Amino acid sequence: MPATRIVRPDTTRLEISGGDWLLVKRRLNAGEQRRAYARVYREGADGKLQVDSLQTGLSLILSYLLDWSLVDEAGHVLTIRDEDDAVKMAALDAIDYDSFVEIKTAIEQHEKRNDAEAAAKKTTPPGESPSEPTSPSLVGAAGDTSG
Amino acid sequence: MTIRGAVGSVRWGYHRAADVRQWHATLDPKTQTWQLGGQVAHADPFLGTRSELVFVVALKGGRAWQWPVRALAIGGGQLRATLGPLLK
Repeated sequence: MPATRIVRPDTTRLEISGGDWLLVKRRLNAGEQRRAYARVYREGADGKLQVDSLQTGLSLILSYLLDWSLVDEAGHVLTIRDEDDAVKMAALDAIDYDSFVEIKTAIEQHEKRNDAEAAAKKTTPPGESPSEPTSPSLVGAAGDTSG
Repeated sequence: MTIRGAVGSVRWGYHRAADVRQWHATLDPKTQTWQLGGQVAHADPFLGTRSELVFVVALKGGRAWQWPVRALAIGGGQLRATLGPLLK
């Protein structure tokens, strides 16, 4: 298969506490990454763009999250699949803060694993298999690839 | 046999290549393929060229019908597609 730079729309399921799960995008493509950045930058009084740190976690979640198993008081799933960002934001605002942080952390770790895997692929000569993505030496070789 | 629905979407994974309204699909019993037609509510020209497209109709209870898209044509506000057998 030829090496393509197109990001396939693959998904990954992340397990979180209480038997709940999150369905997330495996990787963001360029358009999704740009929209993630756009959600966190605000124009300051001086006209320069500034990062709105209150929005960074929310933007990360909105970029990756496709579905989840979280339910309401009646046991019905809080429907977010195929919904727009406004609906997802409303659902994220309705859950308790610890759960919000847990979801953010799970997605951050997922993104870091992806960054490490991507860095490993870039540094692996053709025909050779990359090392395990959890290898400490690979993480060191990856450096800071975020942002 | 012809089935009809209010809304459906052509997808590449979680991306929406096209949203279709007032769709109808007719089964060709000889080839076991479906001929899909409907009004285009939204279409992404790039995503529409991808392979591995699927026509998805959401059902109640979070379930969905899904058919593989074998050919797709969009023009004049209309979508026409040839679908393979319903996916399990």
